[in-house]
Amino acid sequence: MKSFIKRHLPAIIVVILVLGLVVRFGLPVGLRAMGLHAPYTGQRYMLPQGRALIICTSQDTLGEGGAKTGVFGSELTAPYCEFTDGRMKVDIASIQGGEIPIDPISFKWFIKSPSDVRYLSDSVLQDKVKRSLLIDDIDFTKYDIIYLAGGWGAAYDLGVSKVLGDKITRAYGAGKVVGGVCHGPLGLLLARDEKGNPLVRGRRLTAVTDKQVKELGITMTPQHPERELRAAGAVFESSTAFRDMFANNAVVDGRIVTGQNQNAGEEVANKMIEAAGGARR
Amino acid sequence: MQNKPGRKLDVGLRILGGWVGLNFLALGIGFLTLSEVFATAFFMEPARAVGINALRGDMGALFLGMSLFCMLGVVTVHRRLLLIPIVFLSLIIVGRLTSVLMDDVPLVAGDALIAEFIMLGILLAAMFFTSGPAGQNYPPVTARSIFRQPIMVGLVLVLVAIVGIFASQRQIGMTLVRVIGKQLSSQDVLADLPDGLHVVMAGSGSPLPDSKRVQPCLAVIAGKAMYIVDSGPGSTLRLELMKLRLGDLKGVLLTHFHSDHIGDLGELILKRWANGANREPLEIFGPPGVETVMQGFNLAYSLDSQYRVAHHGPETVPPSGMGGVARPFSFPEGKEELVVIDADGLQITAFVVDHRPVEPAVGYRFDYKGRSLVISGDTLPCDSLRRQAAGADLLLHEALQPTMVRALSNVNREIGRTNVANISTDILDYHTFTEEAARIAQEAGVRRLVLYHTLPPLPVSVADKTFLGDAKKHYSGPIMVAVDGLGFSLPADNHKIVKKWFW
Repeated sequence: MKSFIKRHLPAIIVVILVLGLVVRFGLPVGLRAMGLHAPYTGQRYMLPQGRALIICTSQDTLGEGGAKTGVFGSELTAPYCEFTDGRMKVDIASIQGGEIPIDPISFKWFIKSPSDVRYLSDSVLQDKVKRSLLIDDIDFTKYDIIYLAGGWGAAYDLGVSKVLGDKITRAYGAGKVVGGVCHGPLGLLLARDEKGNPLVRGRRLTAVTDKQVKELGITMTPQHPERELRAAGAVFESSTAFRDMFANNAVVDGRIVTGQNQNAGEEVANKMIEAAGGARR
Repeated sequence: MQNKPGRKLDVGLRILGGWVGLNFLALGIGFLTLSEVFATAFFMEPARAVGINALRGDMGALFLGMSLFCMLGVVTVHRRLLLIPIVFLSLIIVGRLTSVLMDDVPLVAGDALIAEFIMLGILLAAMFFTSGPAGQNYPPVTARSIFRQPIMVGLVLVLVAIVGIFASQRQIGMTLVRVIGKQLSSQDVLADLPDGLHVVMAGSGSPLPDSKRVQPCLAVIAGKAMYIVDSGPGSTLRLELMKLRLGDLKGVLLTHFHSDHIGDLGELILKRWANGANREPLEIFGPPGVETVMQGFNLAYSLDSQYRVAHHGPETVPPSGMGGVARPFSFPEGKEELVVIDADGLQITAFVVDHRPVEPAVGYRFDYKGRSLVISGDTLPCDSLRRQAAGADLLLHEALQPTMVRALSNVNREIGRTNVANISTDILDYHTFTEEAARIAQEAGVRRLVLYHTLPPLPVSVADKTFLGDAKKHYSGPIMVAVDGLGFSLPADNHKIVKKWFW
């Protein structure tokens, strides 16, 4: 055995090197090909001089054990990039204001998306995330678009924030476009439409599925979007894959635009700009 | 050397090899003594004057060295020395072919490439098919076997030639003035162009400094009529260096009134007046606001014009032809397009674009004998342009690469130049991204896309690929990054789009 290794050392080194390279460069490509952060190829939109507000969770721990969580990176960065590329001014806010926790898994080398890469080199955006606005201080009606980012953290605070619910009610009433992806649509639960009915009742919506929550084994969070939205009377739509984290779906119902999970960030952002009266770009 | 035909072949090939060596010698002496003259012939004059140092050194050494070993190879018994010029010549050819593959510019050195192939063939033949010692019998390369009489005589002659050229620089300069002066003055680029629609990029850049691109200025030639679209700072000189006769200029069309589109108007108007003894002022077309711009330029240049009339006389510079006259046009209510010129088969249509907060801003479409080209002006992606560009042969669209501009902005922010960083970020919201321009070209079904008004500056062509980003994924036709001197011909009698070099 020893002599075998000695004799074939150069070949072994080459094989290990090649395998390493294949995994390093093949895994992200493979995951992308399966559907994780699949590139958006549809029509893109812009709204010059328009304003968008991205709202994130402030919850940074998961369950009893206290594992780190927060917003899922690309659910913040992808819409941010699409809104800015759509020539909009973008503000970032959170339930408690201040530094927004980001799920540490978001920027792992095999998961991070092109917009995450952009975030990691964009000091302006990083600063906005570090010093996020407190939703209580913001007049939502000054924005054309209110976007709710998801991530496990959002399961704790988005769906139970009365302030958020009220402000979305006012923004929606003022004709603005609202929506989000993954756990983000939980933030619509406490909002009401022009008639005072729950905003999501009877509306076509999507969000992260119970199947994906189960598949990823994180069921300890207080709210699960599919369950909660269905309970609130929403017409829940979703697509499925052998693992739902590779599925993608975006639903537009008037001025409510939702995406199933992290894969829908770019598409939802563009459909929101379109719904807000944006032009093709 | 056993028989006569072999001997004849031997002598013939050595003479040919010697001829190749003399060619290299001429180039070597030329680059060493009259570097810029020779460099101009190969389109490689140094961008900055101090580059003459490298031209003399590097180019001179390359050719003199090749020549020396070429001569040694055919004059002495050391045929193997021919390997040295053969290797260099091969590498030169490899380099040129690399350029053909890598660089998206017209091939201006095609003749040189052919000549190099011929010379390579001669040298290879001379090395392998002439007699000489071989194998074990090959004599050692000694000073005595090298520095033989003919070589020594040659070296002395070369030295004399070099000294002679340096000694007679004044006379050579004077001769060049006459020869080149006459050649330049009698050159008529327009007359040499086939009937059709042509566009030449005199300025393809933006306000950010780019050594290969001055600020926007495009010359459009339809038949024999030349119009200029925008007059960015630095561009009039470019037009002159391209030997376009400014005296024949028919008119100028402005897209909007940002400094980078009007800054050289004073110079352009003056040159057109002085070069053509024109009796009518130059017509400057543009949306409302062009009157204000022209008032300013005419006023600023009024003293200069008076001096020139007083000095040269009204025959040479007719006072009636000085300055420019504003020809404003407005779009009829509810319309977004207007034919502003319709003469001699050429139709120029102005159309609204979106460069807010800059208003008005327009683009232009040129139609001539079935050929068409569209110039975007400065704009965001906009539907009126998509409609105007429909089916055009050529779309010249402004373009900004957001990833690069953002990176520049970050760099400036890091080093504390907040002002520059902010401007870089601001410009993102009223220009079109490269990939967006590609999608527009795809939707409009144009046959070729040229990106101009490039942001950020692209002083080295390797950055062109970064600039294009994913643009090629969105457009199935050819995309090119504009550079000053580049032009396109759309001949009237066929459907070709010919890439040309005008500078």
